[in-house]
Amino acid sequence: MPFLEVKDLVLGLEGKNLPLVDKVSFSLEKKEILGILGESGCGKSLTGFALLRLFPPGINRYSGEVIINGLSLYDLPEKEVLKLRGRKVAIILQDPLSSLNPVLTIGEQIEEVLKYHFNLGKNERKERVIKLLNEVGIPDPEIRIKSYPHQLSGGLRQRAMIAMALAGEPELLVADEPTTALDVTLQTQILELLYELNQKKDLTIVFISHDLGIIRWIASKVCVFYAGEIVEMAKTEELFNNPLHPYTQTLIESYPKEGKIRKVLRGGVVNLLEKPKGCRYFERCEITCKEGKENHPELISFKEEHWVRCFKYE
Amino acid sequence: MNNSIVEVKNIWKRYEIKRWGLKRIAFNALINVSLNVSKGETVGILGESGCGKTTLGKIILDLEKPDKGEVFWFGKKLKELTKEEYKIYRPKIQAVFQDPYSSLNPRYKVADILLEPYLINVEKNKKKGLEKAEEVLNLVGLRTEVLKKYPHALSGGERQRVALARALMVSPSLIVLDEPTSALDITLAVQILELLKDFKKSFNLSYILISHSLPVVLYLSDWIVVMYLGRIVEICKKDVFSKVKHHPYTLMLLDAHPDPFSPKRFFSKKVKGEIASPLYRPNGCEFHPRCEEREKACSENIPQLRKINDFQYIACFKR
Repeated sequence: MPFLEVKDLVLGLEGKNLPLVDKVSFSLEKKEILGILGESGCGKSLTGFALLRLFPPGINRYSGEVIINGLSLYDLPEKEVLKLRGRKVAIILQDPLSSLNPVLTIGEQIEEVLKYHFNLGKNERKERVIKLLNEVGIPDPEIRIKSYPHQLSGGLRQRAMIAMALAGEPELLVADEPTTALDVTLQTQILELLYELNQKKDLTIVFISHDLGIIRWIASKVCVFYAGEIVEMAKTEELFNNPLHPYTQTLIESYPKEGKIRKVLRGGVVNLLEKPKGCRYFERCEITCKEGKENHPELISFKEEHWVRCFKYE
Repeated sequence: MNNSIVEVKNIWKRYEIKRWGLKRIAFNALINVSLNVSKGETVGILGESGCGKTTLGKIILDLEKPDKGEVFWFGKKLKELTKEEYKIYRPKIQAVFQDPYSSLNPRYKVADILLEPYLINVEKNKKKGLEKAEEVLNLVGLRTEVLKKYPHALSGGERQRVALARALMVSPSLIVLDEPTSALDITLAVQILELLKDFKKSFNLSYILISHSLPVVLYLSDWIVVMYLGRIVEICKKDVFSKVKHHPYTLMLLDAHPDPFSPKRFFSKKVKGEIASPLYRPNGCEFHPRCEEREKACSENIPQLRKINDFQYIACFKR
């Protein structure tokens, strides 16, 4: 049985029949790193949050299941979810400055997790915090536990966030664009840190990003999201060497290579409020197909471990 | 020199911060930085946060004053410009910032955002201003309907286009682009980059492109300037960038860039170390604690920027 299983997850605006994440299914073995690739607004973050049963205001689940280690997340009572969240499943977010509490020191914030989930004495907790800060590569942890978020640089803040996420010793980490606010050298180090945690602590990671390079580096498996749907899913190397969906192909070709851009993806994402009937990529697609205008393609298994949602392959 | 738009010579910038409320500590944000941007040329400044690249941008925009050194606008000393000259040159140098959410006034409609610089700097003629606004919006690929909208009603990519349109309203010669695409998705970033490249050709615009993203800098720039802790460590012409031997720090940046065209599941761990705080500068070469090729001399003396050939300047003892 896979460690994480998402089955036909549909998320959308509460009270309206407007799915923003539509029938998303994927599964993940323990210690795997899943990359979720997509533009902003494609539902990748919503999917990430749903793995913790968290939703932004006004958004809720319509149907579908999330099964983590045999536990069906949406069948649990809220009380049980609180015990799971931060303990079994943790999340790190894009902007550490707005997700850290500005009036508490980072030491206090990390300690909060320990207080909630473990029964530890004050000194033990402090030791644990220092150990965690050390683990994520924050220099002088003894001094840094007394720092407020604004006193830390962006890289250190993100490390503090990771330390906080690790405090509950989670098995699944949802990383929602954790390096977007950082510059490259720090980004690499954070990626290396996550990779190391993945290797050493068997941490399963769902890594959400719009950056192809990062996904290729860190993920072992990739889901490409477009307008709330998975349009392609495969092992990383297969996806990058042999992209099937026109969207994935254009994404890869539009990435500047040796100072040149070979293709530009024009236009914007389809407006989901208009409830598009046909293929959601139809307007921007360069291959002309008759079916796509009216009919909606299904995600099909084109070959082993490679799924694609396009009429071209049906 | 004649067609130089902006030149800085031996700039030093010092900041003071208060630590623990009382003690004042000073640090150098920029050390002896010299740079020249000619007409139609794009200079890309690459470096980590805290390397002084934004400070340099601010000094060029005259938003900050250097402590030492000279800034030249169009070949004239900035300090010695008369009020009238300043008024002429000031709008010629524009800026687009990283975060289009905070660089656009949320209480202004797009029309007002675009008109403001025009009315102040070009002429007090609202009708002509609006014509110009429509023309500029067209250039950046937005429909004129956005004129009536507030920034919050626009998406990130649209906002960045508005920010760019605002800079174009006064027909500038140079735009300082401070991380213009880092808040955007790759597909939108590519669209903006393409626009910038088009404008460069069609208006003979110069850019100072401040970015930590290697592909972005490589795409737009004619010259690439690499900064570390307030110092320029390398200047390299783009044409030869992929062929020459670089400063160890540049190599680290190259190594850090996640390239979607090559698999790299197992990390080299070559990218290491923290950026030293400018408060506690390492002795000798600032980069030596992180450098793979360091020698004894590196921790004792500071390497100066040397000319390697016509295309490359490097500050490193080992090059």
